Amino acid sequence: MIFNTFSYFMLFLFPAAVVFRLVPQTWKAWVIITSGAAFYVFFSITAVGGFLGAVCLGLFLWEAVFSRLYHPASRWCWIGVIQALIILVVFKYWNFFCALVVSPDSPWRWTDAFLPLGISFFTFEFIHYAVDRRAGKTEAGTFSEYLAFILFFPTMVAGPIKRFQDFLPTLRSPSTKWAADFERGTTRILCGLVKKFAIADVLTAFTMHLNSTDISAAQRWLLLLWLLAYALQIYLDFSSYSDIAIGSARLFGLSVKENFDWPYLCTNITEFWRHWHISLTKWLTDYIFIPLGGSRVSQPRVYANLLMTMFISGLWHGAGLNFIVWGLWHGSGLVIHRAWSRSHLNPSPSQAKKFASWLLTMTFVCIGWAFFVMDLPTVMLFFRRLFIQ
Amino acid sequence: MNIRNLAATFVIALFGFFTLNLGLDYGLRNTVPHVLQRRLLNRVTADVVAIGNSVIASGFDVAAFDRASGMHSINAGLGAAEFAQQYVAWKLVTNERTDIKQVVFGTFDYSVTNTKPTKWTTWHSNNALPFYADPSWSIRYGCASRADEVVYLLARRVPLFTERGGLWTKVETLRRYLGGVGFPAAQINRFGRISDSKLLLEQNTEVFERLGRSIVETRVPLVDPVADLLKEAQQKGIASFMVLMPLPADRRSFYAMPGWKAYVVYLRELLSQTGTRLIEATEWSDSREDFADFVHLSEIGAAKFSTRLSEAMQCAK
Amino acid sequence: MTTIIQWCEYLGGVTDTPPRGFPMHITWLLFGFWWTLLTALIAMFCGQSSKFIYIDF
Repeated sequence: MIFNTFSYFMLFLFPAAVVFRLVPQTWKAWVIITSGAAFYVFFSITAVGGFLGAVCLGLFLWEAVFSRLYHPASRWCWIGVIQALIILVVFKYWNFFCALVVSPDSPWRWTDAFLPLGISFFTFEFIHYAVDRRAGKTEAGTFSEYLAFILFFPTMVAGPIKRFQDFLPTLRSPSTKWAADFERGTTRILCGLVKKFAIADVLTAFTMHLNSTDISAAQRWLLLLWLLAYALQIYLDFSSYSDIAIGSARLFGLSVKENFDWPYLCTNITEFWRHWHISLTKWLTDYIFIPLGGSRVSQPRVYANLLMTMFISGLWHGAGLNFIVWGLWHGSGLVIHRAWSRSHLNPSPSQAKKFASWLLTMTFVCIGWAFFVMDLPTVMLFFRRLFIQ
Repeated sequence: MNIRNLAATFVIALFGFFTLNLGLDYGLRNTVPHVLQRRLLNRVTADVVAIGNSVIASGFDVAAFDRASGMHSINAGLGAAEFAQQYVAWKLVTNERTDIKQVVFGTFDYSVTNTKPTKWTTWHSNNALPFYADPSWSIRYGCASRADEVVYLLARRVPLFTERGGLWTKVETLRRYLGGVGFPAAQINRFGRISDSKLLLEQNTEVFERLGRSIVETRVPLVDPVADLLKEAQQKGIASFMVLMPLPADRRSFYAMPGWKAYVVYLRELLSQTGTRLIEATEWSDSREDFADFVHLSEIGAAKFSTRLSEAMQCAK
Repeated sequence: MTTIIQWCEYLGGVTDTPPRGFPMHITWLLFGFWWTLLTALIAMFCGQSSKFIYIDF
């Protein structure tokens, strides 16, 4: 919930944005820190994680303190990366791996497991900072600036995943165009809420049927309708979230980079990933794909790198085999498109071919969503019902 | 965009918001709780008032009751209403009138000892009734703090808030239509989907038994609005009856359990403090045709029940 | 298509530059009514809101 609650706007966003605008520059980071900490505790207790979830605020404080050890070429940066990964694995993947490696009722299972608010996103920001500090790609910033970066509540829970080198300049000299920022920011938040409430949530009328009972009973055309509805729903749902996050940041006078750029208009899968969840794609490119060798290695290695990157992307999206298959599905799509592009250097600009490319891309993406929304047995049933009987 | 333009945008939006509220206030003036309120305030003389949620709204047949009892009655039942709303309905009927001589409060299973808290922010649709009546009647049931009360008093003046249930109902109708595409139409009656009515009842006999025992053992009191209603009735000299409404025959196994029997004894004891008589009508109807779904009486069932109820009330006196 | 995208992005608060043909002199009036319409839609549809799909990740 959070962004669609009254509390978010009345208790946190509007008061924090106004105070941030009014205080002198030296206090601005502390306004973000205090409001972010209050936000984290409030929504941990009322929405996810409970009291223990709220205690996870300590992770931010520890990270901010520990980050002061980071220097270019320092080993502390690797330790920072490892501890961020440990946090992510323990909270998010422990039970998944236990079930996979040992057994579903393994005694090692963490029975009272919970997910700290925004864990998948803040750990990626921790990793980014450690790696970029080591590579000397970003300045350290002060303790309060870094803490403000990781505790900036509009983007804390579900992105967009920020970069410190982008955030720091905007924090140090936020926009002073009050009127334009408030008008644009408010408009964006309202439009985000309408996308979420009036379209994405209404589409659940279709997508709630994506379960084995309803799939078994439905006619073939309905399955197609539900899958298309899900494709539309997840886009509107997540892009509306980004709209609200970016609009909220704008109320502070801070700019956050775009996360979506009309992905469903793209005509190939590589382009799709450059327009869908842009901040994640860039993160995966910079911190997984390029360190693996990127595209400057032999073609088979490039393909393997693409598959590995998308495998990790799938796993990041959820601790389930279906997410891994979803990631590999997209990885395969990227590999095939790359191979195809190398043999067809000058794609024809004809409208018919463009339309065909768009249709093929959309079909590919929509089939992928089936793996995203359903577990593997259900998705098998879905495709059996759709294509065979 | 400069500050002056931004201020002008806000003013226009505020004007639009105000107009929107006026439009809603007018457009949704005939929702169920509005109609009930008008009916209760404009009613002719009556001797008996029936209070409750949909089990009373559907189950209390005024004509049948009046015929059998020779009195005039009024049905103030409100579908899907919580107890605070039922209390407001009671107040609407009795606040400025002295003609009511008997009150029938209809309920089922363990509802009247269900201590699940209510909050005014969740009141909408049929539960919006308190927003239209004197706030002092409902404020103590929905507000947890003084600050909460202040916000409640402000929010109840905003039709976009108080009438939101009317809008949501229309959206829900659309969602159900879309969700039903490709499936056989769900059977509905005036209280919604028939299959949904089953959700109102506990389906697990063990849980039902345990719940009864636990209420008796921990001596759970009546929910506040019901306790207040019965106390007020006693103070005004109005004879009060609580009726455990008829339920389909396939529920009999639930009511033969020791936990339920102990609960009924306990409930009788609770009610005796206000001189309220308990009428256990749970097993009054055997026929399937007496029910419109898994909980609510059909017209035939309501007529039979109301006739028998008037006799039971005379005997109880 | 480009024109439609430009209009959508400006009305959605994404871009700062209005599309060609946008009546700039009455922006304040248009956005006043636009906010009212959006608020009305939010009020109408927020009753059955579900959590954001990505929120737990």
